[in-house]
Amino acid sequence: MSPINDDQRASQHSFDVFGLLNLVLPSECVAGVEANMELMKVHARIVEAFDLTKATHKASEE
Amino acid sequence: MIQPASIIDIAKSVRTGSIKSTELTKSVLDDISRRNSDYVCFTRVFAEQALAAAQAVDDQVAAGLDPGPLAGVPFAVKDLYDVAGLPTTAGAKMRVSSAPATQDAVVVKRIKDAGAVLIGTLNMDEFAYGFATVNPHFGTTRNPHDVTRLAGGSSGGSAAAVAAGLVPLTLGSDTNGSVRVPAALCGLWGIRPADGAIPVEGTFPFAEILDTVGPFTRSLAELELVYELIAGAPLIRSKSTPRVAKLEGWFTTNASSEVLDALAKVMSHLGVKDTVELTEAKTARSASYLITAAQGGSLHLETMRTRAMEYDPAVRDRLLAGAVLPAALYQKAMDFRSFYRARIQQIFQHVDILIAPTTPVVAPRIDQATMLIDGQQASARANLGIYTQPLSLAGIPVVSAPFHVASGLPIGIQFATAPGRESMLFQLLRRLEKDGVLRSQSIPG
Repeated sequence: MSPINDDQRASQHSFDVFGLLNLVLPSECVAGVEANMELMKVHARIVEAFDLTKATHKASEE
Repeated sequence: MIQPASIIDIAKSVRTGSIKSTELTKSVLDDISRRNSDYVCFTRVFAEQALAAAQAVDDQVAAGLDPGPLAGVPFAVKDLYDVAGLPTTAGAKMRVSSAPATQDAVVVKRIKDAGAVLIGTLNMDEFAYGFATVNPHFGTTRNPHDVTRLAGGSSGGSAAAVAAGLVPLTLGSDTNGSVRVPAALCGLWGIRPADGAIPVEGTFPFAEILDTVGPFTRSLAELELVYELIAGAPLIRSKSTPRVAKLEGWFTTNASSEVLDALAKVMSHLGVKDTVELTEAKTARSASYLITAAQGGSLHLETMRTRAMEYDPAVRDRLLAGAVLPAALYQKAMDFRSFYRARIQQIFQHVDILIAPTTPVVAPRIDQATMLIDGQQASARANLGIYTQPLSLAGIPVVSAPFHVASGLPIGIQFATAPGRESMLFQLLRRLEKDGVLRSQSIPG
């Protein structure tokens, strides 16, 4: 089995989450949450793309 | 009292007995009852309590006592500050009948102890989650410079109340830019203090590691006076000449031509050509976004399980999305935060003050849904904080100062420094205000 990528990981997570959310929220609310999760994924990708180890190494050299 | 005298003038007049605090308070209350509906600033007005507090100030003066450096100054607070005996709504209808606060927020107490008179509470985005002050329960706050435009948020009621001249001093809170954005759009002075410099105890939290509180005023002298009072200690004066640089890259991309022109004029007046490109700013903004959503979501999760439908739908959707953010991503954002704060400290070894626009554009119209970001239409309200969020994550003190605009809508410029160098920052700002480069403008006609 190949490792899952970020999109798959986020999708898998959101699938689990919406199972949970549907327990407490009317279905019409889910779309708005989903839209915000999409926005959050954009920011998550930016944070995940930052190579902290490399940046820390570079900063210490400076 | 359309354009009130400064806080300093009011306190001096009340202390010397040349005006009575009760007369001033009555005038302010009358003005609010006539004009608040134009701007939707106040959510509650405490007329009876305000008049009683004003009478106490007058009694002290009559007895030969000094009520304090803010004697008789009318002030109001964002509706997330605890006021003893009243519910703290945080802009949420579901909290209107919550248990009353048992004591004033620390900062409210400090201002009252200095002789000021609390007039009421002010509108905000629900639970401070927004840059617009569009509140489905209490209304949309309107920009006094153009009532068809946003006042900014989430402390929009606080900014609009000062800009409209309803009161000369208000308090807001700044997690991601909620003092600086409305200060910029309403043409005022506002400060986000360094993390921990001013106590947040007694304010309703949003994202606790980013939450700060700060005042709005129409002049720098007033801002300094109030800052020192709420910080609880005077600033240590600095005689050093500050090393100044402009923040490039992220902080100028997407700015409108009028904002870039204002920034260029400030730099030119200072004769500064040095620049700093904070290459991590985009990541900092995203990390700030994730941390805010996760902490806000966590704070509200239990309430949302049973009362989700009572939230502003836009806020509820953001909080729920934040509540389900994977822990690994939150941790990654927090790890970045640690790195980034160290990186900022490095920068402040070579420079004292960093300058950047506060917002990319002037106040958007209330009905303007989008603005141009990276060549694409994006939510105007979500992107008003693109220049404030990276500085919030750094935990450093930042003043949003009003660029002097002869006509047209206000433009704000951020001046950031390292914690402990606030005095140096104020010193530079005094020079720019004295030279007329920075100045709060009066509202039209």
